[in-house]
Amino acid sequence: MISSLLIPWVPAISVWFALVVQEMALPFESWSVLRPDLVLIALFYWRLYRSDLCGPVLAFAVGLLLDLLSGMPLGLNGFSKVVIVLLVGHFGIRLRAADFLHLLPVVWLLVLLEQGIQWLFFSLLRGSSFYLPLFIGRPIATMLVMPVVVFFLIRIHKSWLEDR
Amino acid sequence: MVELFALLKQYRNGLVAILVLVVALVLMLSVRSHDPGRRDLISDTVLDAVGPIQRVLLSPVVVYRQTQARITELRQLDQENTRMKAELKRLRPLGTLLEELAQENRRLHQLLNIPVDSSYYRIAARVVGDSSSAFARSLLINAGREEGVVVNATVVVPEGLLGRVVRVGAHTSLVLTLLDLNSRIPVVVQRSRERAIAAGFNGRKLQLEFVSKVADIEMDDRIITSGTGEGFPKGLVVGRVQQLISGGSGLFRQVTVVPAVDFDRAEEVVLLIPLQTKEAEALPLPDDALPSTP
Repeated sequence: MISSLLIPWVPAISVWFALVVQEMALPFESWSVLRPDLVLIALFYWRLYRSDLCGPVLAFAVGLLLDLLSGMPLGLNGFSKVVIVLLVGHFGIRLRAADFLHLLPVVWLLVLLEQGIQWLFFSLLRGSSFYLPLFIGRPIATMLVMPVVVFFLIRIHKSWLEDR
Repeated sequence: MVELFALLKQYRNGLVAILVLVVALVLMLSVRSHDPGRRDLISDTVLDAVGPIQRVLLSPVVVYRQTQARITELRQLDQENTRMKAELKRLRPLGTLLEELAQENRRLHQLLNIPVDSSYYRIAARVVGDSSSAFARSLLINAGREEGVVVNATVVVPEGLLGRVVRVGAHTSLVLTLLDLNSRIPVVVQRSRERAIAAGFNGRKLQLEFVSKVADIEMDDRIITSGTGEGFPKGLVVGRVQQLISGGSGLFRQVTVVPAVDFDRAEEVVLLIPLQTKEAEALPLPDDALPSTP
């Protein structure tokens, strides 16, 4: 009974968990630059394979939480995440047909796009603020950790959502 | 109306997407991060919800960092320990030297405090050799003719009389100690003023010669120089009476005296030289200076 109530929330919970891990303060100086966007990977996965459980509302909510945690202008992450989720939804059929190796550069592009959106709005709201290492580092780091994160997401998917 | 609902249902996803995008934009434009009130409450709630989970997730990292810090600390302690040991090794001889200098300083102070007859001047010297044997008890000191030492100069230490100079070199002199077989010193018993001659016999004690059986002398009486004869100033401590033997048929009794000076431990000495000797030799009066150590 409880599990059946919980199942629709599995993507949301996994995204929430990705957010918690992503926002951890690891003791590495380069962590702020190389911090992978785990939330985006989770949103990408769930939007691609369970779009019924991962829509713009979830992306917006997680984006708001990220803004609250990171101290960024409220709505900035919400906005960019919603755009990404809509894009993934729009090209979902084609992306699902691609193999995993082709998805890696797609994710890289999506993170880059998200960074670009955030930079654009941040510049409009608080003046220009461009940090090139962050702009390049985060997409690369996200692409590199993606196989690991996707592996766990597939496990969750198969354990909780397969044939349900 | 029904058509409107049907239309909304048909474009529900698109409308929701547009709605959240608009809300996000409105939030971005309207809410400032420093706005008081509800934003802080929500922010605090989110932080409270995320914080404990992050703490649990971070605990291995914390343990790792603590271990790393501890290892670094231990490594530093090890390095410091090695450094301190090396420092200690370097300073240990200095400590010995310091103690040695302190003791020497103490002895020299005692030498300076020896009361000296005004008709004598003094020269300090250091014992540099012990040429004692079964047949002679003499010491070598590092002061000689150049320093103003003369034959028969009295040699004293803070405890009392040590002997006299019997041979003088340019910068070295030979001291005949009281214990030597050839040493004869006119003495008196301090308490009764009985006169006698303290003679050495190459042992560790002295014998008083020419002490009559009726002489007023007791055990533990202090023996001092009488000042008669040549060279020795009056009143220098020679030793204490240790043994009195009155037996036998002779006129004299046998008296054994323990010297006040420990001859084996003498390091710095003072030589007392009569002023008249110096004046006769027309040499300038030296200060109370310690000759350079070897």
